Amino acid sequence: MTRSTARLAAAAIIAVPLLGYPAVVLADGARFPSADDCVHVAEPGATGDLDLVFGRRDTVAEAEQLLEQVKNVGYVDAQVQGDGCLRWKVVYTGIESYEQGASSAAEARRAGLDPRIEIAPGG
Amino acid sequence: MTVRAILGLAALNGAYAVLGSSLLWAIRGLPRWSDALRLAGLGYLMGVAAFGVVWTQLLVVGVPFGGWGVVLSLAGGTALAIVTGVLLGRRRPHGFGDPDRHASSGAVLVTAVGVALTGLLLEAMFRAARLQGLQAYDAWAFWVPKGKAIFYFGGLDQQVFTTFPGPTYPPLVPILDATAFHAMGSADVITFHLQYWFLAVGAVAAIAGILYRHVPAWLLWPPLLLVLTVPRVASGLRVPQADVLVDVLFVVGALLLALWLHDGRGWRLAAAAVLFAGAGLTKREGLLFAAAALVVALAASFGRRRAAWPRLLAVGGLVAVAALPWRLWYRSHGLGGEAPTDAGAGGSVDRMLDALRLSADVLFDTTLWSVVPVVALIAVGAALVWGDRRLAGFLAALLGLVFVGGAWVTYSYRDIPITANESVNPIVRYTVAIVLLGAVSMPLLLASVWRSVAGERP
Repeated sequence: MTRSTARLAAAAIIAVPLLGYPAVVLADGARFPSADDCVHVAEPGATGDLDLVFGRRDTVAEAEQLLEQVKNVGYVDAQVQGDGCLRWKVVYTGIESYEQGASSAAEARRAGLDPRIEIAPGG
Repeated sequence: MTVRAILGLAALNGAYAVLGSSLLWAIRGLPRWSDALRLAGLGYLMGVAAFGVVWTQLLVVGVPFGGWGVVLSLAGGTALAIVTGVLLGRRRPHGFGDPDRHASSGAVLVTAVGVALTGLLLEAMFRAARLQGLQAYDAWAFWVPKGKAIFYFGGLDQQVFTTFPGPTYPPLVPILDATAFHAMGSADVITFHLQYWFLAVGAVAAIAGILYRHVPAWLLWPPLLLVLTVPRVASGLRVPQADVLVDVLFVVGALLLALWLHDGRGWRLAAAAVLFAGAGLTKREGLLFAAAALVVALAASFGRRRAAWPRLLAVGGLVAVAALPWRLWYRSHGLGGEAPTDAGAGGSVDRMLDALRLSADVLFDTTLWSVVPVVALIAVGAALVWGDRRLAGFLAALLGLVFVGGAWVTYSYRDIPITANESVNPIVRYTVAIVLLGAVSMPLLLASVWRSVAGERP
């Protein structure tokens, strides 16, 4: 084998798998999770642990402003929690059932808030 | 979890490589671009170590840590290294090729297969690291929270750094974490696992680049691939803790010392000094590893002590000076020292024997390290008999001293039970350093045997 043939073969040995493997993977599409992956809106009638989430903000300070609004409406036990996707959510965790949550959400909407019933993150 | 975060990390790690390569150019010179490429991994590790060491001192004296500070320190450090290189008369790299090494066609193909297999493994690790959750206990209990504290509060927050577990652990890894958060634009504890992937890539490149000119390709790649795939090493590479980094900095520094004993090239000592200083600020055992390497190097260079010892002592002095300010910081904040409960002869002989037995059991546990320790021991033995005895003696003594150091840790901290359970005894994590050093020593040791058998100069 000549020197130039060996070099060509070496380049192929390196390039084919190192470019081929990511190409095959990317052909399937690489998934980039987004902040919305931490939002799990509950279907009507859902059972299990549910939360009433009044909104998400990028900073603790913004979330605390929203918390203040929520508390003024009457949800004094609401709190700010990290949502696991680099955002801060204002949440009321005392929901016992979907129906109770829906009733609370409707009441909060009448007060100008935009709550959603979400499946609580696993402990 | 975005492309922007990944690109930010890539840019940051590129900047580490540029900083370290500039340092390498200043202390050594890089005549050809092929030299710069071959030693880019070493340059990267030097950049990481130098950046971490400098920022540790800056945080201790209260300099605020932020995105612009990171950029300025990387750019300023690189500029300083380039000015130093110019003053020392270093020339710009020019041309490719390696006139000091005429590889056969077979060696070129073996190198290609080694690069391809290692590259595939690292690509697979990238896929896993990109979406890896923060699960390791020490990582989420204190390493990453400390990094977040530096990121959010811009310094060594007293509350976090004095009350979280491991308060005396040095801050180099939290500094790297905080820097990664700045590069990604947020404290994204998922994507930031890629920072540890970059460290693994840099370590592989550094080891391969250092050994490339000294060993045949067929002896270089198999041990490197083997150690990357043994269970306990492979599983630890992406864990965002300080263990892998301290081991890598120590092992690469020790390799440089071994080669320095062989050829006496001063730049190797300077590079080892930077790496050992980084190791001493990465984890407490980093100081133990650096001390062991320097003590063994002092003994191995006894025959030319007049020239060698002042240089080795200078390296030791630099490591100590770098380590001191952090120790003064935590002392001044009312934290006790790192000394064990039974550092002297206060412990029982039974406990000492049990600790030694535990270290040996862990080292020869094939479920953790496969055959790496056994093959490394065979390589040391063969080199002592047929190969380069000075090199083999240095590596054997260093491996032995680090092994005894591990047993000493178990023996001297009375609250550590005699068990390989990683949640209560660090011996398994500690042994990674021995296994890694044994694996990367194999090519050098076996190459010396091969040359001796083939009738070449060892």
